[in-house]
Amino acid sequence: MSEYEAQLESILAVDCGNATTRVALIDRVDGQYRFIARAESLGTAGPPWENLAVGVVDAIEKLQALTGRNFLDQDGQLISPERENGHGVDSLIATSSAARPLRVILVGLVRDVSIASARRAALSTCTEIVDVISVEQPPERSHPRSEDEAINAIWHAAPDVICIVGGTDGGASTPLLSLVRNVVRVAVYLMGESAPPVLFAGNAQIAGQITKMFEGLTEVRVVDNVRPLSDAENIASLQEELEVMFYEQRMVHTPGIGTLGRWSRQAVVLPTARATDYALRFWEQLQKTARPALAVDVGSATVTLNVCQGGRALTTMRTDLGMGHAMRSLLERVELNDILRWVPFEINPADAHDRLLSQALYPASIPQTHEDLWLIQAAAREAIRLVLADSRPGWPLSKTPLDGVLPPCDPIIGLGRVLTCAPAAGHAALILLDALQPAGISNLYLDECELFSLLGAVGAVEPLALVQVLHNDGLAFLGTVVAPVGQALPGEKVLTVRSVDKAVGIDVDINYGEVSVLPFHFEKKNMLELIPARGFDIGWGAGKSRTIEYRGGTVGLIVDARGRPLELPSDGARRRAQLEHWLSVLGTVQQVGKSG
Amino acid sequence: MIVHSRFLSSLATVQRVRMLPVPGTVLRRVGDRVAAETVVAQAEQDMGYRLLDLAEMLGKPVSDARRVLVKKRGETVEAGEVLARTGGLLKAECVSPVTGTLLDARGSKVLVQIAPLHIDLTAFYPGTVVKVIPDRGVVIEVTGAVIQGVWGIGKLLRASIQVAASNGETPLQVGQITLNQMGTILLGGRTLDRAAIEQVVQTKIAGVVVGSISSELMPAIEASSLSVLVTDGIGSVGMNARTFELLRSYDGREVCLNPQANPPEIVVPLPPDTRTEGSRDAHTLQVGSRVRAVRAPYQSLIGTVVSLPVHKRRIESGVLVRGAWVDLEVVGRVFVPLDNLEVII
Repeated sequence: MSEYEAQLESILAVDCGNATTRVALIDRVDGQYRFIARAESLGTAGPPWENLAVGVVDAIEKLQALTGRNFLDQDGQLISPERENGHGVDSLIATSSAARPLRVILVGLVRDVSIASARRAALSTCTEIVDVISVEQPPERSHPRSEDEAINAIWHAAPDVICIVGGTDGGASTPLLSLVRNVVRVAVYLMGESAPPVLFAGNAQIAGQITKMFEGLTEVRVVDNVRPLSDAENIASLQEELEVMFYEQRMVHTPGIGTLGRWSRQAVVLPTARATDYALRFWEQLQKTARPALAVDVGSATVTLNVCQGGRALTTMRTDLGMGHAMRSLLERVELNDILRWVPFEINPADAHDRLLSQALYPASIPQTHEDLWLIQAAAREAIRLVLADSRPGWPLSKTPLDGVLPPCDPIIGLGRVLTCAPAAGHAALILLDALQPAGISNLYLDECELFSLLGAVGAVEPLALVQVLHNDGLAFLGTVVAPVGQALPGEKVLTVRSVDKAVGIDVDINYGEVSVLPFHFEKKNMLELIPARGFDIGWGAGKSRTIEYRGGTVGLIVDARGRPLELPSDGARRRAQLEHWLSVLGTVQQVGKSG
Repeated sequence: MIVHSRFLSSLATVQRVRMLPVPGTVLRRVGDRVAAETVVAQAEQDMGYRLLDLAEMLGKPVSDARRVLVKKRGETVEAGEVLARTGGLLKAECVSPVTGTLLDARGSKVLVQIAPLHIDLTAFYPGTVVKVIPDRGVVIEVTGAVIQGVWGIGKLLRASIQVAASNGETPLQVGQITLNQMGTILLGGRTLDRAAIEQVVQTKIAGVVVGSISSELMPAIEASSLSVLVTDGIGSVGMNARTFELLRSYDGREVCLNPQANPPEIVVPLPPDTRTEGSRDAHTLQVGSRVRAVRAPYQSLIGTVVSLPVHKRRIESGVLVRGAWVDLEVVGRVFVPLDNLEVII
């Protein structure tokens, strides 16, 4: 054992969210890193505290009460390294999602091409796209913007960065140069000392001209063209630079982050979404699965989807969607009826809107009634669907055996309070299935102890701790989900599940339109044969069977034979009965309230 | 244990920041006594630019704007004043759509800097300056009643509060809004509907305080000039009894309504020399704390914490949470998630 390893016995992992602050203690037990305990407090980035450290200290004090160990000295400073009497910790690792998003204006030629690529890059970090300036007519307007309107739009938006994209390398440059010269340069000139930096990720051959255009006005950073060829996308360089800018302009200015930085072994506080990305990459490397690894985090102010496949990863973060702070903007972006279609009881739309918006007033509050709980879970489904729609075009390997549906993923990990606080694990599974609608065979996990992103940050310092805690305590395995894809009438058989070992005695037929749970929990792994009906595909071609190794999960083996895409009954009463039935199948459901 | 808190106090000393939206000049010093209308800082706010196309405005080609402009670079122009004129057979002229300074003219384009907005930042809260924020503003210490709500909109108001509702449970009715309330802040009850909003606007009521507001009506309020403070929630939630009674006790008094504060609030100032109790740890929860429940089914009810169990408990919705046993008014002893409580100061 190296001296370094010997020193790093205990780790305190801290995550500062908008609604919640969490701390987790990881320590060595019998030579293995194990999760010992966790505690949480309120998110304190906002008023009246406006200091992340307040929530962290409060959560650490709760952890002290739970463990009987002191981590803070009498002056409120972190005790580090760990003392012989067990007090203190060797390392503190911190992540935060509480910084305000970086305000970005995208400037480019074509919305569906270069601007779409730039948007994907911007969504990979904590940004808010405040406007898009292009030569095309904006979709929400009846006429193209005049130069005057575009200049004023930039001026009034007061962005933190102006990101210019457009043109293939060596391709036509005149329209973009004209747009930049007549609009962006004028706006930057007028902004004077408050002008934001310009980030250029367009036609590489005009990078010099663009830089010269802003000489003496503002800083220009040049990164790789997001569309070097018309059919090729390369957003990594832009993603990286936006992340740097977010860190420089936002993260380091979050009140209290300095204290965490001083306490932290890394001396920096990692964005939570980046830490999740690290953890998912680790997982994917360890599992060596060919299927994409996916994690979706439904937070108060953001909803983030991380996907990783073949060592390539993509983060998609929507700062305008969330279950608390961002609920109002979510309600502006999602049709209320789209949310209400997931609610298993009748409710007056105005009442539903009021109840959902109340969550924005008290982002950390817990739904206390069934109605409030189902509503927030319904909103989570639609928020995940929106983020998935943004993410899918940028997936590392988008070609899948099952066209038009989400490919089988391993794992699918659910993060965020709306999922981890679900009354039954099956409800969390159902939210993920309804929103993501994976096809074929996927494995579902829940970040029950809210450790996953923390472990990503821990892994950056001590990879062994990440591996061992993930293996021992990290995630709750909900179960394997099998979703056959094909067309049939309700009630027709679509899949047979049979145990290879006849002594186990499993032989079940699943019919179309149903979601079923086979609550198998075996002492050891068993082989199950999955036999799709003719025309149905579970990922290996229509009608082709597959044998899987299976032991069980918190929920069990879930067969989602509801079809892809999932279509809900149009009749309200039938739909509500259907939803209630599915909820009862996936978990013990208590009496669903009626109102409205 | 920290927890959200809210002022529902008849006597408190609080510090409030008054900041310019842009850098400017601070006119007061630490220790200065300020009245509500005292100007504490001033600034000129840049209002942006307009790029005008004279060819479009005149309806004919313009190769050099300088030849048709009637104003020179650096000169000011008033909105509606003639900006450019062409002679010849087809005479034409156009007027400036904005007041500002002519900055530049190239081709057919003219750049006008819109006249800056002069800002006089008043103290708003009568009290004592306890801190100067260089170039931006001051922190004022004010003593009085402080009542915080959950949502607010509109401009800051200093006006007399008039009790319109008989209690916090009944909605504000059209018939309760009268002409002699013009310019005042109305203390409504549970909520107000569209008809009441229209009546309030027609009667030129300056502000309204209600327990709740339907999200459907928010756009109508946002589009009006009305200042609104919502004390308890979205939808139809009664105003908690303590808030209603406290505000009712100030019927006819001049109050400071700040719907833009976070959280929005009403301050009823008392003379600066008024003595208050020592400061208390405002954001901790313990047995005996006075609390308010913030979510249904107990939303806006007030009570006292009787115990803080260590172990989690399953609540009505099935969620497993840590909570407190609270003696709530009307309903008695109930278990409420910690995250659904706020301490009343």
